[in-house]
Amino acid sequence: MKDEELDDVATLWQHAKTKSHEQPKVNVTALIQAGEARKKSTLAAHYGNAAVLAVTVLVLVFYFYFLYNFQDVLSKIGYNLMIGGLTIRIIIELFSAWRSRKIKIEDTASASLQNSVAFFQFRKRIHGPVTMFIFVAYFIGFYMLTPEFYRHISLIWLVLMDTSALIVAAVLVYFIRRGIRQELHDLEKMVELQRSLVQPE
Amino acid sequence: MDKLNHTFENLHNQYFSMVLHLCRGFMKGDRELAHDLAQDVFINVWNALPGYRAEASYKTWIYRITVNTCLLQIRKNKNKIKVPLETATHIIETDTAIQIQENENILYRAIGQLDEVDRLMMMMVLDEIEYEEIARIMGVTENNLRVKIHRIKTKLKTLIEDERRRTG
Repeated sequence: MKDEELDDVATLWQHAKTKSHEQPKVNVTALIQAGEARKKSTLAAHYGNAAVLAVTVLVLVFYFYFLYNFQDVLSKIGYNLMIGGLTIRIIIELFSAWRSRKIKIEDTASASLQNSVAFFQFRKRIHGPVTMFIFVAYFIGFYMLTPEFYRHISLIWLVLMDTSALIVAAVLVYFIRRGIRQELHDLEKMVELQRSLVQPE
Repeated sequence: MDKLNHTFENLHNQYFSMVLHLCRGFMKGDRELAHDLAQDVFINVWNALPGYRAEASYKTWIYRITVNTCLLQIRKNKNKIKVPLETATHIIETDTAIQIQENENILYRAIGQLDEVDRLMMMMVLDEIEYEEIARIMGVTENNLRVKIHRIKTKLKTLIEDERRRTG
């Protein structure tokens, strides 16, 4: 583009910019409140999953170790698989929250995109084999409790319990897959942006 | 906290229009989306402000936050927080103003057809930011930036011509 042509475009751009001064501004106090709300929601997003899982583990530990005295080795392996899987997931969630804090909005675009790509690649690794392994281990562990449960509850209750676990598993698979698809889409977009920024001409 | 509030208010007063205009270009001229995005930028500014170390000027720092907010906004449709706007200034439209508006729309549409990264770089050039500073904001070498900008300018010229032909 010749310089004069760029000048025309720049003049038009600058004119449009002066009009931005006439645009309504955002209320500063409301912005600060929104900023504080964002901090809380980010914190909740980062640590909320880990907190919910931690409460679940505590309930399971209380139930399996203190309240209900399982006798069969199969049952003991079962509930340890459930608790172990969830504990691994909590550790991963905390590590993931720590990794996400490396993405700094005030970094250069290149550094910010690089950290985002690294974060999503890490999430991709978790969501693939690790999440599925934990998920399968949890439900296998649950079904390993069935024989011992059968000695204490009626068949109808056992069938209800096992069927409802299947429904829960199906719902979880749906949400996990949706999350994976969204994060893979985000990853692809970040990689594309990073490539277009750092690629030499 | 009061000092932080005061600094934030000053930054907001000084740079809101600059950010809004960049956001409007990024959002292909859409005023409402641009406002939402500018609001997001300033929420990020507020949250990053306690960590500001004066390694860059406030202007460069805010440009960085704006660029990153624009690029990372694909993840942000969740957690949207709406902030009320202050009263708009009444603008009277004349024929000349309408003509200028149409030219601006052509410019926004043309810029909007550039890739996201190219769009942001081009808008900073139009904002008359020095290449050295743009390179610092984007985190690329100045040489690479110059070559990229040369290519983007050529592309933008073609896009503007196409848009002008389309609108007659």
